[in-house]
Amino acid sequence: MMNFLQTEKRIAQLLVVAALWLSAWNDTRAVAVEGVIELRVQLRGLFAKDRIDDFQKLCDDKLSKYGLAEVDYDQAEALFRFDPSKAMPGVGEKDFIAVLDNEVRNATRHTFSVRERRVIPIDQLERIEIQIEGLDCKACSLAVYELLISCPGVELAYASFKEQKGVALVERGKFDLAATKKLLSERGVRLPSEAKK
Amino acid sequence: MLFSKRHSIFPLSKSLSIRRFVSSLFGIVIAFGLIHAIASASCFGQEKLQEIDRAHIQTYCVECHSGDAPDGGLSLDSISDALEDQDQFRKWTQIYDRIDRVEMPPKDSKQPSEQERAELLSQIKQRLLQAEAKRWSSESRTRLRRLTRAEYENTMRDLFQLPGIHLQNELPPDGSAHGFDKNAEALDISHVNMAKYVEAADKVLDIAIAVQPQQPATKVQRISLANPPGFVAHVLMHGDGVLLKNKQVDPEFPAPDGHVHIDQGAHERMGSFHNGASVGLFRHEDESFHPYFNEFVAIYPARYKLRTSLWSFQWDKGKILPSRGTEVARLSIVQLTGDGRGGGHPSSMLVYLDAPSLQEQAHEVETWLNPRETIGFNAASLVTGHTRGEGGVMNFTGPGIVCDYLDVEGPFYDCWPPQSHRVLFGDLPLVEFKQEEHPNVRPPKHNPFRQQLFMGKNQADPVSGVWTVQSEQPTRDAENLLRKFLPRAFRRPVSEEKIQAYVAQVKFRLEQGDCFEVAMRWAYRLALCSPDFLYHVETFKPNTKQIDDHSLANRLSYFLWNSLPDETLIEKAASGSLSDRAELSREIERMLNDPRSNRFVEDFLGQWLKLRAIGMNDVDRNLYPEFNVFLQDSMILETKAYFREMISKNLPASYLVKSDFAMLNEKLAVHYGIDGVVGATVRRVDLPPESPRGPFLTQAAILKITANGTTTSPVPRGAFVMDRLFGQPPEPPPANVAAVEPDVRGATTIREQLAKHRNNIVCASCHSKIDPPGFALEAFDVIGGQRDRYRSIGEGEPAPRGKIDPLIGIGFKLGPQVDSTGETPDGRKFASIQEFQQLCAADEDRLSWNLAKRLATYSIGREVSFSDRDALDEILEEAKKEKAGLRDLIHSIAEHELFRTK
Repeated sequence: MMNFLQTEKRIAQLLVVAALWLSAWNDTRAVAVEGVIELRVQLRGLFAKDRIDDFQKLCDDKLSKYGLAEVDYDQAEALFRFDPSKAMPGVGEKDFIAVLDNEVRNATRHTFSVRERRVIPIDQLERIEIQIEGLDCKACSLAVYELLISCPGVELAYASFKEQKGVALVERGKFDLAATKKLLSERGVRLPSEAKK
Repeated sequence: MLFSKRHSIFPLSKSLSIRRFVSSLFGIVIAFGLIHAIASASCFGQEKLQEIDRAHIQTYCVECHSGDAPDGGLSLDSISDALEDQDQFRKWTQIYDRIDRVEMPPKDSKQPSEQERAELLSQIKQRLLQAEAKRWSSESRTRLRRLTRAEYENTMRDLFQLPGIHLQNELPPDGSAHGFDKNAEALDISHVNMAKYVEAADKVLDIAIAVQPQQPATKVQRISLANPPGFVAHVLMHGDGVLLKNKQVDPEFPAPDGHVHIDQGAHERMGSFHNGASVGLFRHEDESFHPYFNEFVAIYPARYKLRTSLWSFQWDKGKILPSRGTEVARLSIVQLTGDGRGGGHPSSMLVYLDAPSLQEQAHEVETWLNPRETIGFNAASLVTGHTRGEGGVMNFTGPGIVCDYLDVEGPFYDCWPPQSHRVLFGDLPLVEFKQEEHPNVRPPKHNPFRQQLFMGKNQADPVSGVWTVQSEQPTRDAENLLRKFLPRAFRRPVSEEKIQAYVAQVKFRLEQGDCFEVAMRWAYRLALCSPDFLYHVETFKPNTKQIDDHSLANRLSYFLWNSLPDETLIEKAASGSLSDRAELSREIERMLNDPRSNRFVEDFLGQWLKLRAIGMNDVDRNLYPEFNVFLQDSMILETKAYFREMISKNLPASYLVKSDFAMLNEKLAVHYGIDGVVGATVRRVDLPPESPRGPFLTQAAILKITANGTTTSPVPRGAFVMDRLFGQPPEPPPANVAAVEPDVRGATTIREQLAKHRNNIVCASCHSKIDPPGFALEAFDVIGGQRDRYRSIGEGEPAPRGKIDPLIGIGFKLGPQVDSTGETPDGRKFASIQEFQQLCAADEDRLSWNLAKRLATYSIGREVSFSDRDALDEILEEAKKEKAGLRDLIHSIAEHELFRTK
């Protein structure tokens, strides 16, 4: 009986640990030793691979207290390690992301932002590619990206005039391609052909 | 000089019939009528006068000027000799002039003998002099007059050493009398003026008084021409310009190739316009495009240094090649209105700067800036490139101007508190006002300097607390300060009684609970709105009709600087040394050599040659597509520089109409077809003998002012020349005669139309004098370009491009041939503008006489009347003792008795 209880208790403890782990994985935060936490967030503005370097440089220059540890381009996520008592004194845990988002926006002139991680796994998203034509210009690509990512149903987006395409990873059934293309056209983006899935 | 004949170059032509000069006879008829009037006066022998009178009337006048339909509409019986009536006086003066110029009787009529003419002139002159003497015995000739707007602004600027504050545009416009706004007849005053003077005084005192203990920090702000609040970032998105690094297209901002950049906001956030790239522009400023450096908006009124680096290039579908030559850019001072958004804010030209081919040229300019002012940019020598067609700018070939940056450094002060504050409060300390230490004293209400416009990235220094001057002995300090300030502001010694009256005002305000600064400010505002400040108060030397030395110093200063006397001049006035002619002459030299004399040049030319009106007509861009603001600014610069050169080199009045040099920059030189002038700077250029260019007569500014923007007409141009250069203004046209309208369709020439017009006998006599100079100037179009054929937007042949920029589209055609030949009324023919100039230059006496009259009218603030003519003759004689140049003339005027009497 004792063994059973101990086993049950151990299982319960394992479940709690597993739950905490899952929670940490999903809720973006994990408490580490000596007051340093890890904060994993969705990173917006990562519309092309060379933006990783841009973000890292900006963080090194202006946001070093938040300790950018990692940028995951495929998931469009960033991991920060920092001591909240030093980086965000007086800020409650529930406001960590909001405060970080504000700082990221200000430091990057609103070309990057952070938010809670996505809930829907990436393999459940539909990939839409839209052919675009324009100047090989990073700021123009940002404009397309921001338009795509703001469309309903879009979870992830990429844009590159160099590759002449915009990519949207969308929640099935919630994305209106025609409306998006209309918006792109209105923004001045030339669309040479139909989008392909 | 009693009977000096100021021969006109346009006496009546022998070839014209008597009938065509019926109206001209008007004068001689009136003249002999005047004899009749003189006969009744006690000053002449009645018998003799009547004899002459009758003889002349019978011989020359009665035939045409009597009966029911007298020629010219004038009967001898209706002549009035009531010379106290100004209209009658003016008519008699004209009669005198026409007889004196031997215009009348007409040369194809029977002439009086020289003796008869001289006697007649003498009698008319004496009668006119008597009438004026009677008039002046009852009133002052130079009446009390207020400061003009320009004088007011300059006076405030110099008094407070705030050299760039704007005040005159906030005051009601001045009128004009006898050609200038300095005449008492034109300078009325109303409650509106007074309200504006109070506002202006408050504005000056707000700026002058220091409100912080430390001088605002001097900072350097670097601004890209692509700064997002300006307009350039927007046009860069479309390819009207490019961003450049190391003289190549910035790879982060590719040149539009048919595709354009999208979303300016995204580019701003990505730093596209703040990455240190240079900005190359392919278009100039226009109604929809106003490049501003408005990330800087001045906060503190002070001096600033502007540094920029400019160069030019030839863009060839993406390649950066050497440019066609030195291009030119303009910096302007822009007064941002409202919330500062948008373009088209009022602006004034600051400087034109060279942009050499592929070679950065650094420029530094020092200027005064007022709050809410920023710097504008214009790629002035460019036309708008066709960069937005198929293939975008990558398919465009044309010139571009590059601005690497603009550094604004400032504010700069000579000391702190600034001089403006020291004028008011001397060396009294600035301390923080603490209410608890002065419970019964009201503190000053300051409006701390702050950034007023959102686009300005520069911010004011933080100031805590209220800072104000502290006086331990307020009454004594007030008296000391006012004793120094009032004579300076009033431009003359101030009586003890008046000083004490102002001190009493300060005491009163202190008793009412004001702090020292506010109480003093009250007195200063009173002073700045008082007649002592606002008016030219002139006083006489004891027992003479001469103005005293302080009044003389003022006249001199407002003549040559358009502002108050400086310390040196005041000292000389106080010591009485201005009464010494040699000393006076030295002062005139000093003042003419001082940069403040540019104010005289600007103010005098603005009115004499109507230079202020150069922008009053819009040029038809279909007919004159090459016209732009750069050309117009260059025209103004030429006219001012030419007058400056006339003063500097002491050139005679013949240079008004004929010259061997011109003052040109490249823009004007190209416009005039003169080679070898490069860059924006106006400089002296020697001309070949056959060139008509150089003098006022053929300067583009004058030719534009006398046209209407679309067409030229010999009438206004001829009238301008006769009036402004020769001092023979034509009579206004009769009310019932239709104006001649030039035909822009090119079907008929203005000469053909005027020929019909002159068939009207009423018109003929005046037009015989007006038209010849107008015909000669037909050699120039509405923007001062020389021409052989009229431009037409209707009929005509295809027009060659000539020196018009290849990027400018040409829509006009070549119409009829220009005929600039003519014949003066005395029968001298000219076949070209050059020949006409020769005829004009030969009449140097009249040109000099008119110039002297204009200068005298300007300088003494009243009409130069009939009885001043002898004085003018003396002035000219005096000038002739030297080189008879313009500088001599100015000396001669300022040293003559005319200048010293009221």
